[in-house]
Amino acid sequence: MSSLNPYKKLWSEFYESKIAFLALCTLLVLIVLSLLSPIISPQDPYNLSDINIMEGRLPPGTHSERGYIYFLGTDDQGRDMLSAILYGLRISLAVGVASGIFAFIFGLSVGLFAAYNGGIFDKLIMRFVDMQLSFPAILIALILLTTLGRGTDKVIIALIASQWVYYARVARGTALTELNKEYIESARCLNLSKFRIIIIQLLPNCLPPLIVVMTIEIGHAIALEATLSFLGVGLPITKPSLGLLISNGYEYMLYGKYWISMFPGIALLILILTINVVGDQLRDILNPRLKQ
Amino acid sequence: MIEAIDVFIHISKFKMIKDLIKINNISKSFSLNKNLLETILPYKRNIKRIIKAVNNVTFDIKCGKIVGLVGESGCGKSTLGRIICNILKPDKGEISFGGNDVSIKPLEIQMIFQDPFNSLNPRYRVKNIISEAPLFHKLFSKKEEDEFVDDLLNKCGLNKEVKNRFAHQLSGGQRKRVGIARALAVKPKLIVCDEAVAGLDVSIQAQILNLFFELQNNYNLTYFFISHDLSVVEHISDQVIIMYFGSIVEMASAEDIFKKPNHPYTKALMEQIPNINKRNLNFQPITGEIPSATDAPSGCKFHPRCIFVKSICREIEPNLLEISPGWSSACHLN
Amino acid sequence: MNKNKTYKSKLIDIVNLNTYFFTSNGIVKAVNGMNLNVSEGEILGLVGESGSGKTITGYSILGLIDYPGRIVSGDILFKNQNIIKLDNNRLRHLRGNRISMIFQDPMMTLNPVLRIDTQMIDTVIAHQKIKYSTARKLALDILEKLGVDSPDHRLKSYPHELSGGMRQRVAIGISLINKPDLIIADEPTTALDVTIQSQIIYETQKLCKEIGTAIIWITHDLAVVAGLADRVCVMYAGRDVEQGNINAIIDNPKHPYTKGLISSIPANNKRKEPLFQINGIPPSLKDTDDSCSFYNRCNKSKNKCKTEVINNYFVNDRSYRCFYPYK
Repeated sequence: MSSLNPYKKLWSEFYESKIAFLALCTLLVLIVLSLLSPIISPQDPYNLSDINIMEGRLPPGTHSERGYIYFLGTDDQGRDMLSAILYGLRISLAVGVASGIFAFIFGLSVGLFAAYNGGIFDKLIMRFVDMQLSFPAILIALILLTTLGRGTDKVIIALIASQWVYYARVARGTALTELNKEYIESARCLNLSKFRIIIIQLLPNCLPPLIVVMTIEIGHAIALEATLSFLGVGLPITKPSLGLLISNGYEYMLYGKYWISMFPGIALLILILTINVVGDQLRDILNPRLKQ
Repeated sequence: MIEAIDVFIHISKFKMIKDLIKINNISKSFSLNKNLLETILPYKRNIKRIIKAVNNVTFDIKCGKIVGLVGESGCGKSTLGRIICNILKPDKGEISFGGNDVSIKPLEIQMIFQDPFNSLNPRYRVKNIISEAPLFHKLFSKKEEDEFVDDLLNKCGLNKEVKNRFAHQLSGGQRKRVGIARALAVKPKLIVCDEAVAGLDVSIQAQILNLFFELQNNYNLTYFFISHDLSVVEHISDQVIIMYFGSIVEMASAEDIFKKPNHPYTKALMEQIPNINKRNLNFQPITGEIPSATDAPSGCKFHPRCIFVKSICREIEPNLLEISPGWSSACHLN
Repeated sequence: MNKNKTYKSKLIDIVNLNTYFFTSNGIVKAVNGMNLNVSEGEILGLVGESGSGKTITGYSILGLIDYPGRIVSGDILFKNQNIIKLDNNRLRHLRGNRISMIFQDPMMTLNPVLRIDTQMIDTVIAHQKIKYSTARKLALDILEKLGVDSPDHRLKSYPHELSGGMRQRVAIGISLINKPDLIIADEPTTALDVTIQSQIIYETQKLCKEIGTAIIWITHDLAVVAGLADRVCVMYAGRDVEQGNINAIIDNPKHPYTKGLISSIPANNKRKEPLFQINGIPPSLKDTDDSCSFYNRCNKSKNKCKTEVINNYFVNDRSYRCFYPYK
């Protein structure tokens, strides 16, 4: 009988796919970069005294008057693209992860509640979830934002509201399967409290598929937020995420000043891609284990 | 004088065979989920998809005895076991716990499950599986936990070092023993064994059954042993109940029923069990299948497969009647 | 029963088979020096507990061992032809046609999205050149002989519409439809109720005697084998420890493991008394070697058992692997 730590085993299985490992490393690099952005970026792109509008729309590699190189060029306001991207990564990740975590908590609670109580609660909640799932997430987010107005917190609320259903569905399905298993019956037989049965016995066993959903949904949240910002209804200009950067530079694409839009786009692409690849690999290794 | 003392001891022993629990007219049905269409359309609304899992069952379990319940799939034995353990609530009927000077709380009725994989929480270490409930019910303090768990593991034939392992790191027999230790941890009086030795290898089965005997002696336990394996039930039971399609068809002491079974189903079961001493058989099985749960036969539920069937069997369901002291059977032929 | 069986050449003869699994945790010797033989039309019970290697033996015969396992050495002679060396094409000609298999879970044989008649007829047409209607008649015929009621209706159904017992009957039908020489039945009735088990054993036995098919019936239940088989082979830790005529072995077991198994059965013990038990647990299949694997659980073992290589002893058409057998 192997006495291998289950987490070590998870890691060694994850490592089997070199691509996933590469993606994970890239993702970690991006996360570290975004966390350290105030320290490592050449300029603070939102500090008006730092930027020089006369140095706007310069191509990549141009030297600045202040002594550093605009590695990725500047946008129409004179902001260094590299700094803007680093700050933008930070915002995108923060919004994506925050909305992901709260959607996870809310979706998990609703799913567990529906599964444990069954009956009319389960039917009503799941019909509502089904209805929401039949609409594209972007549509739901847009409708909510028109009613809620602008602001970072409103955007996060809209993201949570459009995403919690994915978590709820998976949580309910897993909880139903686990509730039929005999260790839950044993817990009832031993007269343990409802709280203990749901939170301490049941919940940890429902987590593996939800972790997978969370990884992939954070990717979706980032993409969704980028779309909203691109359309102009997302985060305010004071907190430009990658989507807004892409939107700002869009009109310059035709003039040949590709760097204003393209580099934020590439950054966004790499971010979402790495998150998806990591999520896929997690799903693959956790699935057969579930069947065991 | 000595005879008087003998008689006195005999009477007091007799009085000591008390009822631990009495099951009275328990019934439990399950309804199959109607889909949306069936809820709306009027002509489909009346479709009754009710499965009568347990149908009006009455019997007692006496202190210190082993009652064996035999039946095949769909007979309701698992449902009945779970009703006794308070995992399911019966639709009708009641269970009276204890009697004259015997008391038994719901916590003192525990269950040992069949599936060694699914009956232990995969996230828990063995130590926590065993000690969670007694700690929760404050049967001992956190300080005494280690000692308690070690002692219990030892009594169930497990080494102390499995304490920190997870369920998937143990063999099937070891998992069964952990399940037994978990049930014993809350100091039960009655243990319901739901197919506890089914699927175990013969050599492990012998070990587990011997463990049951030993624990019965040490802890003064009563067992309700549910099984489809007649040879095991014959070996360990004092009292045997045979169930078919939700009802009791025969109930008697183990010696009586195995010597001379009365109900046709019991007779057929006894003939069907492979026996190591019956060689080169031309098997003569009973025909037909166990009827589907939603498609109950009329009258006696066994009549489509019974070789002694008469016309009354098709119309009226026979009652469980006593044919001799301590022996009941539900058959029109009596 | 044909008493001249001992003089017939064996239908299948497994000699010193070794099937190992090369895992990251070590080499698991699932089958470790297995010997087995079955004559034409004979029913052999292959008895062993979980982990003894009986299923892997069955899979090895059919060439169904996949990575990380492979047959390392040994011979399997089917009608005097060594089938281990056969390439995939010729093995495919054998499988389902001359040798077929019945699994414990009928859904391992049946495809849930195809109708029963499609599956049965496909099996026939894959190996014989006959018309669709003739094949369908064959299928109908076999289902009737196996006791399936309203076989025409069943043929048009899907597997999920049938009960467990019915599915197993269909799976048996698929394996018998080409009138194979040998069937390997891997615990086909273990998951079924006692009454259905009897029916299926009865029907399979009758049909096999009619067609002349030999059966290797794999089970952990000695009692089933007692009623059904002509000969029995007892397996422990990857190899045969005793083999021979069923009556001889059950009434007079020579190997301590066989004797222990028989003694542990509730029917052989006095009611309400503790059962005879074999102490300890089976060994890990990574640690087995050529000496006796039962050594640490045996109450007759001596030093020789732990150190010396143990081979089969042959007496009167029986074989056993023990230095100190019971008389």
